[in-house]
Amino acid sequence: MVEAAKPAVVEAATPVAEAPKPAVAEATKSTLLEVLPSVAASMDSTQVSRRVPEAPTAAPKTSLPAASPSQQADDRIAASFAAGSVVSPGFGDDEADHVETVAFRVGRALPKVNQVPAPPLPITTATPSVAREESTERRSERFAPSMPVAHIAAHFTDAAPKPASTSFRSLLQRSVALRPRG
Amino acid sequence: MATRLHPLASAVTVDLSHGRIELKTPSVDRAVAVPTVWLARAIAALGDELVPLAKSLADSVANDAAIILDGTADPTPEEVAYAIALALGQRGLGTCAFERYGDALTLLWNSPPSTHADFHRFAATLVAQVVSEVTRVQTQAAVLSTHADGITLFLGSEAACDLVRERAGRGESGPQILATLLGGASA
Repeated sequence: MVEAAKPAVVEAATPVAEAPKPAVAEATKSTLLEVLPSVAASMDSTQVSRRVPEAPTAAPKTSLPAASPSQQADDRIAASFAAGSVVSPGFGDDEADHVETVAFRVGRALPKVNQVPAPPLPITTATPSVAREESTERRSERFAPSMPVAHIAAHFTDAAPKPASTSFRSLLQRSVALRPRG
Repeated sequence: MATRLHPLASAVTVDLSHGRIELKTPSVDRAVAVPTVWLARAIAALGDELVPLAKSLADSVANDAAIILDGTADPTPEEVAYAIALALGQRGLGTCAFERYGDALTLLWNSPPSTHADFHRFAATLVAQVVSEVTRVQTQAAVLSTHADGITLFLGSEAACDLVRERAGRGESGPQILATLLGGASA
């Protein structure tokens, strides 16, 4: 139904503000009578003239400036920037969503986890120099608390058992056994 | 290490209505908050009297550390570090970690009350006493080096600690001192 009415509306809207002349309506009617007798039989010139004012008017188009659509968009965005307002993408809602989705995907293009460089080890300024000067025979180690002290405040259930480490007492005894030269 | 549920959250209670600060570690101790600068000055003014003061505090810290270790027969360095760090931390005395260079074992005292030279003797006495009590291995300590927010103390024999003190007093760096020490014969 809508499709059938569309040609008449569009043709009538072309002269924009003027109502269609009876002669034009009659000519249209006679043409349609030849092609679509059944449609023409139900067609009445008064209906056409009545529908003209309701037609989706194309008048604003005729009054648009000569600038291209892209130029208008640029101008609008520039004006928005100048006004300090949020710049709309200038599309319909669906299209704007699409634009945002694309931008979101681009923003998500992060490196893979295994490509992220590992953070530096928490070694104090006092630590490394000896370790570097030492040969591989003299390994240096750091023994931090077996868990972060601050975590004790939380309700702590036992952590997973760690693999057995060196005995602290034996390390201490080796250090105590060191004697200065001479 | 079953006492990991040690209630650090309630270790310090500030009772403003009575103007009291209490340490619940694990016995209740009254505490007074003073700037650490004052503390370092007071300790330095004690002279030799700082030794019994340090040992008294060490007894308390070592006792808490032993409770945290919960009778672990032969604790690992990480476990000992945890126990002592927690016992220190509950008193606002910082935390600690151990480092090993060859056979030389050091204790890194992070966030101590002071890193000033006036505090070094007290720090060494305290650390030596705590480690000795926790491990039952007679140990001495000497400040090897200091950094922005910590002190590194060597743990070893009296003779080795004398050497560390002497060389540190001459301005040698910690790594240099350790290199000298490790270059000697190990018994």
